[in-house]
Amino acid sequence: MNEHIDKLIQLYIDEELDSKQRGPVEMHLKECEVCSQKYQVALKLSVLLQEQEPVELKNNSEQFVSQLMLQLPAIKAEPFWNRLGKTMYVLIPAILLAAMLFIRTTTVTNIILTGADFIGLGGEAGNSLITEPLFDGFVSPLDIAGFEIFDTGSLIWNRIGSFNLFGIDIINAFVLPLLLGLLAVSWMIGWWVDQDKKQAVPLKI
Amino acid sequence: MQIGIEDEKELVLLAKNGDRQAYGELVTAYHQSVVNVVFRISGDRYHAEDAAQEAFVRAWQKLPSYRPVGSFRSWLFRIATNLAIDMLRREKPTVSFEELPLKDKGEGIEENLIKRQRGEKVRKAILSLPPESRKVIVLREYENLSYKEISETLEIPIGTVMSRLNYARKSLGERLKDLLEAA
Repeated sequence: MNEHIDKLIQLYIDEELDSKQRGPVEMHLKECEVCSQKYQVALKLSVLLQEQEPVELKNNSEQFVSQLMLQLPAIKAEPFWNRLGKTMYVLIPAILLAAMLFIRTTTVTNIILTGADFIGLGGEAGNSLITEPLFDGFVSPLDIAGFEIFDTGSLIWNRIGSFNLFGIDIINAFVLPLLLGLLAVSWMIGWWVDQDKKQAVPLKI
Repeated sequence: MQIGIEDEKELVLLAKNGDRQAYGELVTAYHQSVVNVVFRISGDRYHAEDAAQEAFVRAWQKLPSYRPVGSFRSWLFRIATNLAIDMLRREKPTVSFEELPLKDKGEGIEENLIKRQRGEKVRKAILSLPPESRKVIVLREYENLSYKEISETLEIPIGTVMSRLNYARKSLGERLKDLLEAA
């Protein structure tokens, strides 16, 4: 440490250095006259500032508190809509994202199973991977959720199957982009609300 | 009165739900510090205590929406520092430092007088700083807040805390040169 250490002197005085960092600074202060002098001046200033007496209070703590209590208005519980709003701007994007992932997963699973069929593993392999009962009487969660695996390996979600209209996959063509748009908008609103609050705090209080 | 971190969290939670007694305990713990912060920043000893009362009333009103991101102390000091700056904008200090009593520690009259004069010089030097640097130096030197706590209190990056502190010290060093040389 051959150069002067103005910045470190400040950190040293303010006890912002850990024990490992303090050692080299102390060594340097012993060796470098310029830094040692700067340190002494900085320390004197700190001592001078801190020797100032605290304000003598007109009232002791008890009097202060009892006077204050008379001034405190009844606390207003945060309005339900505010609380709901705060939760919703996190909850709505989360729900939308989950919905998108769910729908997308069925599509991706579809692709994987179709791929498996294509390379010769066949629908049966896909079937066995996903729906083969672990034991007699086992009902796959996929069955419960309304999925069906075709012999070709395709995974169909029965509950959305009926949304095919004139050969157009409504879910992929309209619903997903709509969800994506809502997600983006709700995130933007959430961000805006959050930013607004952050900026409002120092101004209001 | 010192309160532990866990006790403080519990008191804050109770106070958030309107528990006045819990809030009273928080006020007891911090009222001297809040008065000091307001006085050091505004330079107005006469109104510091009233302003501290106002700060605690505002804090009480803001409590329902308080989010415990940093410490309660940092949040409270944020309210107090902003209030002190508002005070400065509203009115100039009306009572000189010498006109008001200091805590009597049984020192001689002459020593007390010298101390007062030094105190007055220091107070004026601090008041000559830009408000933003003044807040930082007061929180550091008088309330012993760490850089991280100051950063939380004033909602500024730690780098800014350091540069404002550096500026404040340089500035004070020049203004208080005679006192520092005499020490």
